[in-house]
Amino acid sequence: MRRADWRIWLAAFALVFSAAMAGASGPRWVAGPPYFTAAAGTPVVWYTAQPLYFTDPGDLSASVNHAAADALVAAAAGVWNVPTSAMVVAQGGTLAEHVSAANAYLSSDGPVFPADVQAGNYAAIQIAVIYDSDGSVTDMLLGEGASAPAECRQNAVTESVDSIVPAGFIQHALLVLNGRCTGPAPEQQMQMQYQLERGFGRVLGLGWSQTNDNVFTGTPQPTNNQALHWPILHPIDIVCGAYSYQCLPQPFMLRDDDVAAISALYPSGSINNPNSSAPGKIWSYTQASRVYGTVTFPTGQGMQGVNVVVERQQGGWSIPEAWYDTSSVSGYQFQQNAGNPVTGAGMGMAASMGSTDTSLEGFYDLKWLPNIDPNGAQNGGMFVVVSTEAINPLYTGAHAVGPYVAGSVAPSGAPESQLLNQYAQYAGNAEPGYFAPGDAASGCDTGGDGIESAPLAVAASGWWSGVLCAHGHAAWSSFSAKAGRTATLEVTALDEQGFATTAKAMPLIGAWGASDATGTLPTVAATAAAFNTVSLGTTAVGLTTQAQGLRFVIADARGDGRPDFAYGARVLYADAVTPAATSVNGGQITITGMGFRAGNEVLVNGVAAAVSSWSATTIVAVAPVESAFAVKPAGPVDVEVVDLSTRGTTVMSGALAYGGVAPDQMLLVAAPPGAVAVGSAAAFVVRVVQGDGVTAVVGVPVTFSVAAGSAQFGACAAPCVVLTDASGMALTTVVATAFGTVTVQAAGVGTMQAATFVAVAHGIAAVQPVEYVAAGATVAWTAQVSVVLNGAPAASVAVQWSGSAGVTVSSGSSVASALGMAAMQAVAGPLAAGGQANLQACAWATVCANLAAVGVDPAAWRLVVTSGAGQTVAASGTFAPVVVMVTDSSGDAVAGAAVAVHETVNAAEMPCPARGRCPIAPVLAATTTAAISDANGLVSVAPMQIAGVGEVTNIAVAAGTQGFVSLSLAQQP
Amino acid sequence: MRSQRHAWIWCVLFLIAGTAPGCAQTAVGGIAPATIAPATIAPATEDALHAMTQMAAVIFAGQVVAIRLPQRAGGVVEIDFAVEDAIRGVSGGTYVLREWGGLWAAGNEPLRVGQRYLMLLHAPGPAGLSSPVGGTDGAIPILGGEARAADGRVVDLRWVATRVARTVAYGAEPVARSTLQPVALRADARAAQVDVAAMPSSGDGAARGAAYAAVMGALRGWERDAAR
Repeated sequence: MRRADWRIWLAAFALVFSAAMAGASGPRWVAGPPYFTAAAGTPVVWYTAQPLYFTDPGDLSASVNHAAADALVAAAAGVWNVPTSAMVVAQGGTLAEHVSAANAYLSSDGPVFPADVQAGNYAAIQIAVIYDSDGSVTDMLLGEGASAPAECRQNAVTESVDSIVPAGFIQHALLVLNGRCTGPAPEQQMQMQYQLERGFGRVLGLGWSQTNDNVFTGTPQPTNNQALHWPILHPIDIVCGAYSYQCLPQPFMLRDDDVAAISALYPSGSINNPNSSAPGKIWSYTQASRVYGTVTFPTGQGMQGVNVVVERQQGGWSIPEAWYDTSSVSGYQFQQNAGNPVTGAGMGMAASMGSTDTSLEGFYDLKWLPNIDPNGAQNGGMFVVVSTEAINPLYTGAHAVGPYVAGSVAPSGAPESQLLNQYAQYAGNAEPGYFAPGDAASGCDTGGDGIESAPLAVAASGWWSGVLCAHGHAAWSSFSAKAGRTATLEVTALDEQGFATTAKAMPLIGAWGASDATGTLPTVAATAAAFNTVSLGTTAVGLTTQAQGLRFVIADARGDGRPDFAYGARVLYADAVTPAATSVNGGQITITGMGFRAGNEVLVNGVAAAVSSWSATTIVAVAPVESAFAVKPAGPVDVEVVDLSTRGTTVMSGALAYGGVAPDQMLLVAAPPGAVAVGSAAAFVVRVVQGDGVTAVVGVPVTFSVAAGSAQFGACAAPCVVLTDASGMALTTVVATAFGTVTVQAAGVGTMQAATFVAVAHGIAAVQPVEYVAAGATVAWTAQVSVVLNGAPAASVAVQWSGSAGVTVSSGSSVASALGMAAMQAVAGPLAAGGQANLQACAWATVCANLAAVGVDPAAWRLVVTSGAGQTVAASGTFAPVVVMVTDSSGDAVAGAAVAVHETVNAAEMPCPARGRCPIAPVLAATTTAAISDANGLVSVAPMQIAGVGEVTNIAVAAGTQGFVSLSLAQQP
Repeated sequence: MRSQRHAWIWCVLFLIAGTAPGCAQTAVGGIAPATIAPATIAPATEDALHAMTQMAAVIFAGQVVAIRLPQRAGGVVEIDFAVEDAIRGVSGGTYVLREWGGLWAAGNEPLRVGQRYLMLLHAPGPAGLSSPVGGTDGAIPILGGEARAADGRVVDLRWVATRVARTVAYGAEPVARSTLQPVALRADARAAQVDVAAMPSSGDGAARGAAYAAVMGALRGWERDAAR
């Protein structure tokens, strides 16, 4: 800032502070109507800046005598006597008596303390400090055992501000020190001093603060400096062992945020007279400044409940400190509870917090920010980075930070930061910082909402949405209904993305008769608390409808309203059921109403009905049979629709009668014939008609099931539910999956149709599927197939044979033998090498086996001796035939192959002489013959043999271009 | 301390079976239903809850039906509960908690009409006054609560969880940060620094607590242990 601007800023500062100096950053209470007569929005403070505390004249415990206790109290109180605040809390003396259960008791009007301790004595004693040496006072106030050492984390110090007057001043407070929480360990006294330090802060009117909350959450890991700037008045302590004061560094030193709070609440001096401070005090802003501003929606409405934190940045530096220094919550001066039409205006002080001035709704005020740079620092004035953040959802109720005590509200839009680089170094400067997140909720159209005197009829579907926008807004609706029904009204709070949440609006619902007087509390039904259902963010109320119709309201529990308070609502209401009577077998019913959705359950007299369809206004179901009821109903029964998600219900009492109506019928239209092959599909069709036998019943579920045997339905998996079509038909196909008797059923509308058929399993298989034939040869072979029925040989079954080109059969048919074998003489060939001719055998017309003849090239022929090799017989013996097989290169027998057989018979060789050449055995006979391999590829050779002499028969067999085999047989002399 | 943990396994099974139907629906219109996901009790939280029960003479779950504030500050506040599940020191029906008005002074309203709580209370003192164990920690909110929806209720144990001791370690400051990042980027950094989603037990959904049936099962198990 240039010095030329100094006077302008000074004037602006004076204006701001003249109105707001009485206020403070982080006050515990803020005055508002109707209880307070003080200016709305002003913090509640002590009526004097020098309240005196008086201590109990007794000892605190056996370990802490009176003097030691007084020292402990003085230390705890003294930390709040900071130079920048006018507050001086000091000991004024001692109470007139040691307070214990002996002189404190409970009257019908509450606890009664000795006269000098009571609030009425505030002029003399502002703060009474009781040394509850035996815990009896703590037990009297909080219950038996409350003073036990195990409760010391909570009950070591009990504070109560018991006199706040309408003028907005605190007059009296009580501090009870539980002596049972002290002891021989010094840490016990340190712990009590720490808790009393926090207790004094609260008694002085300071609220809880959220600054460097990651120290509490642990995420991200806090730094030491962040811990040193975590306020002493943090809402919830960290537990890291027996003594919580040990969980933070320098626990008996106020943080900047604490000093800011006490300095803002009780400022010292004034801008016009900085030297007017009391002795020992200085002007609060000697080296401190202020940042204030607003957080607003795009609509311009203030956004309440946003924590605003600040980092300081030294002049001349480009980065701020790595911790937040102080904080303020937007709208802390604004009304906390405006009341609502459901529970009415709040009563007492709790309903009198904050101003109704909408300019304060998003206003935050970092009232006191210590300046890093002294006046005139050469490196320039301090900058600040101001940021917005959410309040920790745990900080509600007794731990509340800011104005949303009942439940914190998530800010709308993303967090933002601003660098205020015009921040001046001059003492007492005030710098504005305004946040208006562009991505915050911006819709605030409530024109479609009704008002109390003219509520808007709900949507015909029973589903609608809206937004509780603008502080104090409530949405009024109406709907007409038949008397005697029950309905459920549900409202779900939604976030900006449309998801259910508990971090936005807290919806309440109230209902009146349509003609009930306005301006009254609900006469029909009301929710006392939000979120009373198992559904996230949902409030619901059940009610009984009235002939006059209903008027109801949706309102925030706090009476708040803002652009991000969206909601979805519905009325779950069943208006009528048709027909009004059904047969004892049950039947289709149609429920009309509103607010239905898929999955809703229908109960008829408490028994679930099968639902076939849902829409927002119609449910079609099938009423169960009367026999399903535990007790035969004496009259019409209730029909109930239940939403299993929200547990919402609507009941039509006595809406459906049983009897007097011809039952719906199910007619069998088509069923599988008596025998159906396994795997074949057959139709199964039923038709549902009314009792007149003609009128189709549309849309009822028919359940197809398999009562016996094994089968599948084409329409769906069993049990298969199919809705009847426009002609009342329900159809499916049936496919038997195993042979045997199969019974299928169709059940619905209290009746059933069944069909029984026999599933048959046919089979036929080739004994030798492929006949390999020598290329160019013509081969006759006996083709064979085996025929089975339901797993057993099928005798006497006719088998039809047919061949393609290259194969002929001797006859068109044959009959299976008793063993289920059917054969046919066939002739295959001639075939080219690699050529194929096909033969087919079919039984039962459609069950077929395929056979083939394949031509084999001579180059692929091979020969294998299958028997007769290595024979040696006596001179009188006879050689057995030698059998060779012609195969292809894969070892398959080849029929029709031409084979050449060469034989020679040599005389038995004589032994070689001792010297000279061995004799050559003479050839006694020789021959060459030709043969053709049979259908099995075999060729049988009868070896040449000369009887009565010793000889050797040599046999060589050749086939094709590669087939050759030789062997020798011996006949002994 | 958790010797009876096995005793309420049935509760968890019941919970699984009991909540399944409600999760299968889809919306025809309006809002897709979103139930509060129940969960079992985290072991450390269970220990903290058990420790609190050991200091309690009266334990029940119920709904606040009426609150009568005193005529003067510091008087007696009477809170009427409709007891829905009595565990210790109460037989059912209506329980009247008489609290010192000092705890309600100056607008503080620790309990609200219509809200359901699991209450862990000290025995009434000589004067008939009592209070929750552990301050407000002993008035544990129950989320959801229509009578026929008992299987879907959740006990909000987030505040009980803050009683769990943890190790505290403060890291060193960054040695140096180069230059100030653009403000737009810093906004993200700020968002990360106070990460609501990362806060212990904060937010909606499963993190809020444990299934009502699981908590009540644990309480009854401890009660049986104490009776032996």
